[in-house]
Amino acid sequence: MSLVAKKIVKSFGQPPNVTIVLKTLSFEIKDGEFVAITGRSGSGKSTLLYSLSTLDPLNSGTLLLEGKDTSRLSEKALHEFRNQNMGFVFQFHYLLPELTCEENVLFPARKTNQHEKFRKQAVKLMDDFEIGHIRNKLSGQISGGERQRVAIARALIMKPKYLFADEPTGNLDSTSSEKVLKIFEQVNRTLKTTILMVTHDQGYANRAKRRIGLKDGNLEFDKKRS
Amino acid sequence: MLFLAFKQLMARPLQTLLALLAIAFGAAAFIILSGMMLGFREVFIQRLINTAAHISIKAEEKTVEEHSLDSAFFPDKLVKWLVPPVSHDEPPHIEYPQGWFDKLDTDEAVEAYAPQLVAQVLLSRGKLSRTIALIGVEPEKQIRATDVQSDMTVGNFLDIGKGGFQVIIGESLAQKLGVRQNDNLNIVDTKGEVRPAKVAGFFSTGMVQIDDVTGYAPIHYVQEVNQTPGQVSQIIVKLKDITRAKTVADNWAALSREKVQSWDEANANFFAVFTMQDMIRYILSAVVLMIAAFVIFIVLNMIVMQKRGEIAILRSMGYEAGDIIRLFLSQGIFLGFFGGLLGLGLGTLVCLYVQSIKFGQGMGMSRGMDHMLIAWHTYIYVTAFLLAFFSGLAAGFWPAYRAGRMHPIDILRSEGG
Repeated sequence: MSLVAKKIVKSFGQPPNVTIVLKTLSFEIKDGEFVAITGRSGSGKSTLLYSLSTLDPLNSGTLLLEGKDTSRLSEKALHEFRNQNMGFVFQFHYLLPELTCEENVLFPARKTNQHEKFRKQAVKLMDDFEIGHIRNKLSGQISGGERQRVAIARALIMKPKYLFADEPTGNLDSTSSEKVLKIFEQVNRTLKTTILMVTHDQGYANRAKRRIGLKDGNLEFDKKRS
Repeated sequence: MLFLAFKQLMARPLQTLLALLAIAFGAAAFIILSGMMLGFREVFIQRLINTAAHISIKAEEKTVEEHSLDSAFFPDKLVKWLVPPVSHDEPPHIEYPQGWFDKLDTDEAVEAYAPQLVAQVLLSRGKLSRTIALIGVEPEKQIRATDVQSDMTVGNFLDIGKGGFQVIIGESLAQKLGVRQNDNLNIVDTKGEVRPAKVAGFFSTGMVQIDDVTGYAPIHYVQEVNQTPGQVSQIIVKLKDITRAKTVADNWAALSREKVQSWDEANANFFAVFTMQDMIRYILSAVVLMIAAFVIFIVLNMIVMQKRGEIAILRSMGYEAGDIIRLFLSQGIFLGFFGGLLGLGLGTLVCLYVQSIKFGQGMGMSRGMDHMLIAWHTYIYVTAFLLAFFSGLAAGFWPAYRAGRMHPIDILRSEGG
């Protein structure tokens, strides 16, 4: 019982121009699952991901993380929870261009002034992801695939329970995309990190252990790979 | 966040340097303007005080109004003058100087005092002549109450008390009359009577408006020239604490018929000019610093817009709005702090250079004022630094606040993340 969504609703706009993007969704994601969220453009997949990651507050319904109702947590507690338990990967890498790759990877640990403690972990992650050789380079000096792998290493540096990925292969060529997917599978298998990945690519979605399909804000399907 | 703030500043060296220089020029402008204006002003005031004393007690000038004399000439009559009387009834003088002397001798606030009688005379030597104010003094008292002894460039001020009719005149006046020490010249009073006098020495206050038109002689000689034996036209007083001049003068004025003025009241016209100078100084510095702050504002605002995606990822990592505000505000503070320090250095160097600039007597200055005068007060530098620092802080505030208010989801949606 790691992540539970009960009748969650997310809408945008003010009456009478309200658009309901997520329409009373309920499901449960267990620890260590690798879930792909799929659907057409505008189906609400990214909104679901941001809502489940607490970045975007819900309009109604309940989201339980580790048994805690997130609506009852303070803003500070949510920030802390995100820093300690969640990692994010977006379609664009959003690396800080002034910092080296290693400094980027360690940046979440700077929040709690623990970057020195996590340095070995950063080196190991970067070696595992075959980006050890670019540790001291700036993001402007490396390829797109390498940037995305640095972004994944940054998302994983705090050993989060959850990894939220929004179209992580959206800007990558097939070789780099394959590398990213392999990293996700490896992280899910070895670190038992729960992964929620939004993708419109059915091929990559099929690599997940579970697929949640959205259509017009409703749950279209929820299938586990046998 | 300081780590990232510093990295961001270093990543755009040209913009950072531009903002630093803008702030530095603002702080330096304040230091240079203040140093020059206050430097000259302080020497000017010091000379004014030392020459004119802390408090002056003068006889009220009694003017004759149209009906002042009615009761004396036509008691109990309504008078219509065909030609109304207009002149003074007698030369202004303190009516009971001994009363003042007794009071000043016992007043604990008083350091020293000196009675004076001023007469307008013509000084002539050969074909050259000049009208001056001949101040009759008691030399011993005069040197205790003023800095006139230290202003002596030739001779000793006490020499005028050593017998005979001896005068001390301004050095620039002596040059104009072509006289040297121990030369004789003639003093012509308002009735045309001529008296020979010996020049005992010269003084120089540094102010031509004094040095060109002033001479000193023993008071009993001036009383004789003025044909007002025993009269005193003013008493100048030196206080132990100059800051009490206005209070003491007001107290004495309330209890006397004479006009009692502190040095700052007597020179109120100068202070009006100084106030205007201060306004100009602050406005000019404020304009330069506002331009500097605007540069920082533009630079930081641009960076905030460029870094929306990075702000979103920082927020998703758990960094709070306060952290984001600190990230950008600290850059404004950094620019203000180091720009201020740079400005202090720059301002000091320029002031040192300006102070080394010499000018000649042709500029109307004399002893002690042969170069540009600079004030080196700590408060000028502290004020300049604080102005620079708070300009940076103020300029960084809005962009930082704006960045802190950005919601990660809004950014991610607009960036298509």
